[in-house]
Amino acid sequence: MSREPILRVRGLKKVFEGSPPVVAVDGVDLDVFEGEFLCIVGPSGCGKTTLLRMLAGLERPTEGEALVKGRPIEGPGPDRVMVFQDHVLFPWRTVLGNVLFGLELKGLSRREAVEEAMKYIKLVGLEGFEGAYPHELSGGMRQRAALARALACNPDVLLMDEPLSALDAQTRNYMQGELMRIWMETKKTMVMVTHSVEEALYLGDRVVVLTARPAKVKSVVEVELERPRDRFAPKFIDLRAKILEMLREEVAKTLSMHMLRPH
Amino acid sequence: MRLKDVAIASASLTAFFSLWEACYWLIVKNPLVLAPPSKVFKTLLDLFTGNYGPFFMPLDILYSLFHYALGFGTAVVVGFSVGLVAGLFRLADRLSYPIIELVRPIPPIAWIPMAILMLGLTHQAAGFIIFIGAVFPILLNTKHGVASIELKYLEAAMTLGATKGATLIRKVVIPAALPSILTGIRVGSGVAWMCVVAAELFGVSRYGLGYQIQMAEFYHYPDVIIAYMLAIGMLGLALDVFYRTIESKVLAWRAGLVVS
Amino acid sequence: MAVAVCAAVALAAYFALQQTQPVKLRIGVQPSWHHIAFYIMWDKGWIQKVLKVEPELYSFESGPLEMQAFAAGHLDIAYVGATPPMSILAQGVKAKLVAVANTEGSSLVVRPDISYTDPQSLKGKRISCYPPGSIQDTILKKWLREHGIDPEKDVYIIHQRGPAEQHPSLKSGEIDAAFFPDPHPYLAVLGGYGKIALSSRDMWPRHPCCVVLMSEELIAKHRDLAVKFVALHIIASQYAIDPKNKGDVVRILMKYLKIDERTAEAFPGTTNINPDPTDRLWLDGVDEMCETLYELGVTRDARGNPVRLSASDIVDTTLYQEALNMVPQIRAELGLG
Repeated sequence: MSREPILRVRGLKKVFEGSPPVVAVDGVDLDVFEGEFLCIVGPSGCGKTTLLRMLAGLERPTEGEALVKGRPIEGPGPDRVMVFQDHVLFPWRTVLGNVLFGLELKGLSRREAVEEAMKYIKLVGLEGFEGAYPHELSGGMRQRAALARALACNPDVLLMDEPLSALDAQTRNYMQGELMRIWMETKKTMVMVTHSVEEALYLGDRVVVLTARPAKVKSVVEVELERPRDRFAPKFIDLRAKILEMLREEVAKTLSMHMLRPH
Repeated sequence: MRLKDVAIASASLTAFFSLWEACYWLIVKNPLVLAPPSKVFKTLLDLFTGNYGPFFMPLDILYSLFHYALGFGTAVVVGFSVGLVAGLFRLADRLSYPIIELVRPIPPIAWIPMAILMLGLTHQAAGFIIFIGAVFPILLNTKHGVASIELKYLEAAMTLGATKGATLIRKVVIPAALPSILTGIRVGSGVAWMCVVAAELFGVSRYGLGYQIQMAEFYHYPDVIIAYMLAIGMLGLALDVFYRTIESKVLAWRAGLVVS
Repeated sequence: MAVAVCAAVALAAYFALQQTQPVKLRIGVQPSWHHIAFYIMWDKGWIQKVLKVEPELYSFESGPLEMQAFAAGHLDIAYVGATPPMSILAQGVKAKLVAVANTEGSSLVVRPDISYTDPQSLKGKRISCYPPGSIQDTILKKWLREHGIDPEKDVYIIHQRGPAEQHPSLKSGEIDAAFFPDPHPYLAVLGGYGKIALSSRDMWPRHPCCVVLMSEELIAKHRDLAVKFVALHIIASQYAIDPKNKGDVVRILMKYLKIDERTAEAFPGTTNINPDPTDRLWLDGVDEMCETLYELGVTRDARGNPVRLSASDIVDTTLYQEALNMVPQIRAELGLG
């Protein structure tokens, strides 16, 4: 592709101090293009969350560089809003209150901010629930509210850390559809970490497969399938098998490493 | 409140007052030692209308509330500020911890001689005693509330654009810590009210409910003593209800989350 | 059933024992040499010798506190100022003033750094006094009013429970002045933290001060003991002012009031020891005090309505007169001349 990446990562490395120090991410190169839906998968504990947090600015890289729209990432900010696995909605604010949070910081008048917030609340399908508190909502609704809150900031990139993992299977399936719909309507660049290969293939334009810890990019898989995708189409199943095989390789390596290490 | 609750409360109170009345007429029988409820209620009325000698209860209530506001208001400001700083910054916590733990166990009453020496027999001295009593619950509860905030809320706020410390404190720290802070305020208020009476009893000020209890003692009026005690109890209750109401309104968002 | 029988037996035994107990005499006093007569009796054991009873001594910091105990029925006899009893007598307590302990004998002491020139110079000052109803409080308020000073607004009268609180407060500067009975003014002067501004006799000449108060129950049930006690009081009062006995009196004051020799040597100071309650001047003084207490709103009935007592209501001179007759015989019994 000839497009300039909106997010550019080179040699990103993260070492956590301790005895012994833990290398979570060991030199990751990545390009994320504007408007694309990028999924990141990897074995459990490989460091994918750490990678995402570095992109969000919540973790400082030990080495390497990460640029968003050409500017280096210095810390967290509304240009790279993150949606967490357990929504992290502010319990003392209503749905509307939560969605307004980022808007309040932008200096809009109350009326303008509410108008804007309602747009996103409608988008995620929570119209009528703006006056509810988070604890009054179901799991799926909470994540939708978290999405609306993030989108209301109009970020350059929307980062999502396993946003659907805490939901039950049915809600999860439904929410995958919703996520796809929202992405198509907003045309936002989205980067999502998930441990479900099926989910990654259902939603992503490309799927980045990471190695076991310390994380490096093992492979980037292009998903050239029409949306909405059919989970039972032969090509879908093929890609899924391919990625699962890669992951199995990585898991095996981890286990053998454990067996070789003296106790 | 349901009718049943009211009925039970009334029955309980009636039984209590009847027992007290009987106790007086059958056992004590000495108007200089105890007064029966029948007399105390008439006395209360007279105290309010200024028909009982030098006693005028509304004025005393105002003075006691004034002392309370003086001491408790200061305690809220100081307790909240120090608690916030100590909760946010480890260094501040470590610095303040030994001083707080050393001073806190000293009962406010023990401070009365120092207060009188430093501030004289003034309203400020009374306010100081109340302050000493009330500040610690507020401070410690605020600190605890602030220190217990889950990091994830701060991270979420930062990623949404709240990167400045002041913004985070205003929009995340304080709302998240508010349940603890309000509890501290309510507890502190209870302590403050008790200190009001203690400070006034020791003559730190010449007015107030506590002071009049001592005056009534000198005049040998047990009915006035009991009337003032009842007034103190009822005002203390009113204050507690007031804070609980504020708590339930401000913390309405907790309604479905916590046990009560 | 068995429990009931045991309880009944215990109760009966208790009451029987009560009847056969020797009569107890519960006496209240204050740490003031106005009550020297009592301390002399106590020191020499005269009460046991002549009345053949075991006296119990209760000490109080000031009159109003003593009267609380008296009103609750814990005392039979009290050495106390003339005015504190009036509050409880007005409320219906049954007792009588049966003899005089002293007149005058208190002083207003100011801190050495305060200059007292006239009554007006007390404006704005913090003056510590015994609680309302006491002699000191009564005299101070009357005197202030006579000089156009409002005791509620122009001065700051602080009521402390007694000398134990007043001395430290005066020393530390919490208060500007203290009004208390002998020997305390001398203690403050000799201790270097006070100087005498004026004496109570300057504020109210010949004012009644301490008396002997007796419950009517004692007078009714054991009149013989009551009269003998008054006789002892007369004898002790005579003993106290006899110059021959100065040394012994000083010893007694030092022992019971816990004061040093220099202070004790100042006895009797401004105090007049004279046991006679039939004196017309004294009775007029008591009447005046009743009037003052009425004006101050201190004497009230059990409902809180102001009451005006008079000397004739509250003084019983009959015991004194009977006691006078017994004095020579008792003096002989005690081996005095």
